[in-house]
Amino acid sequence: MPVKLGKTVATLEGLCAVEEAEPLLAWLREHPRGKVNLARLAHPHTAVLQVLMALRPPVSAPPRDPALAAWLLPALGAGRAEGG
Amino acid sequence: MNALLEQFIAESRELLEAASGRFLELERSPDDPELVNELFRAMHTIKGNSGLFDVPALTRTVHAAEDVLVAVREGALRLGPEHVDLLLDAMDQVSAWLDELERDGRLGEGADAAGEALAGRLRALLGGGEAAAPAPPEEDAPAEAGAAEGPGAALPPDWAVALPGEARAAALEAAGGTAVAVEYTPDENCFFAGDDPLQTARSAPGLVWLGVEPREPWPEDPEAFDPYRCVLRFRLLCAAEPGAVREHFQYAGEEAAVHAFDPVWLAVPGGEPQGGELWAEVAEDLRRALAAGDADALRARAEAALEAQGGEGWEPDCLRWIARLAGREGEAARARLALLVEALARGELPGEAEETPAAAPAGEASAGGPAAEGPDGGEGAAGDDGGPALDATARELLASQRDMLRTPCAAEVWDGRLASARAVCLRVAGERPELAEAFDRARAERDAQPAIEAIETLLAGEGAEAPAAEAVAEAAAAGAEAAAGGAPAAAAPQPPPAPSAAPAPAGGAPATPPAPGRGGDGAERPRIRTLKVDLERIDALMDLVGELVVAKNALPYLARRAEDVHGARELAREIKAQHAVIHRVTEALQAAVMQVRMIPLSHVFQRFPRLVRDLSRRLGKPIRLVVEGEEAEADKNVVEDLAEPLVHLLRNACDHRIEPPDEREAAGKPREGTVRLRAVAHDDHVVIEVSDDGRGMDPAVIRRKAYEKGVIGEQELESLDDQAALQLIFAPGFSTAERVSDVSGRGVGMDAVRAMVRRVGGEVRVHSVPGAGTTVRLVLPLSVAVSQVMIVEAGGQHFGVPVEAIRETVRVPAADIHRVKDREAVVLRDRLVPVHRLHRLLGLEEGERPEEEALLVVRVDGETAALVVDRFHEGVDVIQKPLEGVMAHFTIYAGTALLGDGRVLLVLNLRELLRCP
Amino acid sequence: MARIMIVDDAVTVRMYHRELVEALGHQVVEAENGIEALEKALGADWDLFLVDINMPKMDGYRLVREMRAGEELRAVPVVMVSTEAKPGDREQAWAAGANHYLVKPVRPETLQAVVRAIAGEAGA
Repeated sequence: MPVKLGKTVATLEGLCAVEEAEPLLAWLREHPRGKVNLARLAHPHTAVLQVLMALRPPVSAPPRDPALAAWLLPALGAGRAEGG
Repeated sequence: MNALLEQFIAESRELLEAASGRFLELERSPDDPELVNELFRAMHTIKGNSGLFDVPALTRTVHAAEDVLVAVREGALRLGPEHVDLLLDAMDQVSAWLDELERDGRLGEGADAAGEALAGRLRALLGGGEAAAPAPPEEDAPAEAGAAEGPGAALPPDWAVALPGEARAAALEAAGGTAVAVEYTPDENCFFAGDDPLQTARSAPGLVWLGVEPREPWPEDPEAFDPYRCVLRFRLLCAAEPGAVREHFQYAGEEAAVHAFDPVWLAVPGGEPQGGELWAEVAEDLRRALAAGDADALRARAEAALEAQGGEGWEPDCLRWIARLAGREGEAARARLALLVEALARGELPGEAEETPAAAPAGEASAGGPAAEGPDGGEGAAGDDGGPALDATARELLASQRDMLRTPCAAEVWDGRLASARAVCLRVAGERPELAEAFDRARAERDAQPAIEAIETLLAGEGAEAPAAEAVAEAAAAGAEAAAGGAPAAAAPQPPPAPSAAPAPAGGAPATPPAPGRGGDGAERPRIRTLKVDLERIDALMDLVGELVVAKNALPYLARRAEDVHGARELAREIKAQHAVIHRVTEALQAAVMQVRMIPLSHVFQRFPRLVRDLSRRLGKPIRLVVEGEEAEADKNVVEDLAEPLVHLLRNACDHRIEPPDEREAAGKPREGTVRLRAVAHDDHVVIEVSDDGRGMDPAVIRRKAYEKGVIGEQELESLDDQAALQLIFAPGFSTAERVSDVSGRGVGMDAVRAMVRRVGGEVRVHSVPGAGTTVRLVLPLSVAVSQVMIVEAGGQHFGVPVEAIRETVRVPAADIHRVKDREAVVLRDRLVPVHRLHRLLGLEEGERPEEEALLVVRVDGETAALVVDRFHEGVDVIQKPLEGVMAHFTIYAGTALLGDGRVLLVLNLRELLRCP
Repeated sequence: MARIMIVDDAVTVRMYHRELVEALGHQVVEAENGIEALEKALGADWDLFLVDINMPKMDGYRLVREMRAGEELRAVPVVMVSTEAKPGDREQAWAAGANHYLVKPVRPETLQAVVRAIAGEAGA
């Protein structure tokens, strides 16, 4: 499962497909202080990306792929500071 | 129709004609930059010219074609046959409009809609994104942007210029001559179609930078957010060929706006200005390196300065961009570098300063163009202190000098530029000592600053005195210019303007009469070296030459009469001597006029590539036309009469002789057939060959067919050699076509071709190798205007025989003419030559047979024959005219010619004549 | 009367400009490109050049640079008259040494005002 929804952290790994958007959104709505771990994320579907951008959860770990981090972190705006 | 419109039509037609040939070449070699450039220039010129008239549909169409060519030039578009079809359609439409313009003086009613549609189809070639024209740069007045979206209006979109410096630097570094900016706004429902726009964006070729943002604010309440409605917008910078990027986004259609542009436009410094004196010094240092054209030094100095001064801020960013741009190829990069160095010196980008009224950029005021409406008479500021006042034009010109002097330039033009600015300023502002002094100082110090300051002072002083008037002038500047009425009487250097000197923009020609004083200067007018002369005038000249030839031919008659009737031998001799002189001069005159009438064969040839291309597509056979020697010249009449037979020959080659591709392949030939059109000019004739690498012709088949159709008899069926058999295809009623197609119609007879060629005095032969191809060879005279005939007499009448057919004239004893069966023959130079009696051929009365027969030995179609006549007369030059009316049916006559004594001479067509039994 | 060179590869444009300039009583010489302009210009006095930018063989920018860098024509005023109006064009014209920049199609009164300001008007 590319999206693992924990108690405080949602971990996104590999390719996150369009079906992941809904559960991730639901999880973020239920966990307003929840964080996301993007370390092993390869590619989020646009719908998943939208969820992240709309709800702006803090990033606990940025993507290890520098090309992905280069545009994803600025897109997530505020999430960047905390994710460091 | 006025002369300007006439000129526009003529020039456009010329350009269009050349262009359609070039488009076909372009289809073959889409990567030939010279072709693209030439075509671009042709469209550009027509577009520019058309702006002078009220023909928006035409302008719009050529503009769209021009944009397509720009895309081709930038590598954003590769032309395929469909594209060329469309471009050719557009050219045809423009041609049709030109016809309408010529006929009615304006475009027809449907023109706008047709233009709209064509331009739309052309622009559709550019892909959806291109439809949104690049935003005009901020510093440009709106009127200008509207009036002239130049061909290379290839600017990055505003958002690209506003990107973080590192992103732009990366794009600049990674991109060659072209960078591509894409703004991709996927459809809201795209997820339901299975799309992942992010995936599309991330996989774009040459992606340098990617930005994602919502196109509407996120809802405050997370519950209101719908994750399956796509509300993102992607922005990309790619260092890749525009074509590749467009292809990548082709399924996105209008959702992706793709802009190709020169990456140097990304070099815009950002940050807070530091200020301080030292930047001007650094700039001066850089300016010298720039002027010297030393890219390495420029980069080194910029980097050194950056290291020394370091830090953040606008000026260091300027230096970073200079270092990045240094050594980059291209005119745009050099201009950008100059701009940045200048910006560093001034503490701002030159464009930014122009927002203040005093420094309004010159020239913009005139951008409107004739079609623009605007207040016509913004009054210049009148000086009220006695000094010459400056009108709006003067102010603009002064501002231009200032802007020019501020712009860095190469060292070798520096002096000249300053001198020219001095000349302009003094002309425009009058002899102001302080201005002249400032320029002298600038020259002495090798620094334009004093001159720039003097101009500023002048502009500021004037502006301060009459701010309101200037505001009016500036306001008018958007579309019009404070012009004609602008110079007050006090302005010494400018005489009052001529009233009503303005032509009506739509009507075209400036209708102003020549100003007085011009006539007296004739001696000073420069020589005109080439003339464009109406063909009618040349034809008239030719007719006069013809009359002169006829008049000259009268002199020998006169001489004979002087001698025979009046017994004035001496007079007769003098007349003959004069005749010789006039004859020589007339010949030279003829040659000269004929030279003028010579036009290159390209006039006819240039339409053939299109013909063959259309045939090729219609027949479904790939065929390549190779044209050689189209620069060879021949008389205009010959060239024009050549068009029709050549069309037939090319059609026959494509339709009947080039095999279908599969058949060719099976025969071990390339699938694409080749048809070659080749011209070679000789002294007095030109040879034109139409050859193909098709299936060739089988002499045996032709022989049999000719026999079946009754073209030849049994005897010839046996005796004709292969080459002679091939020539049978030109016989009337013969056609090897096995099927009738819409291309060649009823197998348009080669006999028609031969007839047309012979009409201009030419000959045609065919050569063919079965399986390897066929060559049809046309030999044509360079001129049909004047021909030489020999006058012969038979049955008391005179006839002309073209001298080129005459081998010799001999007299033989009547007994030497033998009768062989029902024919006569004579042995000449050990050869048996058939003898024909002209009286009999023409049905004339035959007189008593003399003891000695006069024989005219002629050679026609390679056959020698002897014609028995009563008497030979002199040879004369005649202008031969074709037979008209009922006479035209008598093919035994080639035409008529007027003789010096007023008689009309019938010129024999030996070929037809000798065919008669 | 002034002598004015009109350099443009479009015959129609040359004709249009010629008529406007001649209406002011000036003498006009035409050239199709930069090379022809230089050939025709040398050895005579000139008051003004009206120069197109996009031309075959030698374009307007180069023509002006050649004029400014040479001896004879260095101080002759040059007005660029071009269809191009993209940013950077003006800068290029300034860098080459052009004294003014007009955009085609030029309103008749605009062209005449500029010509009148620089070269005056004859016979008035």
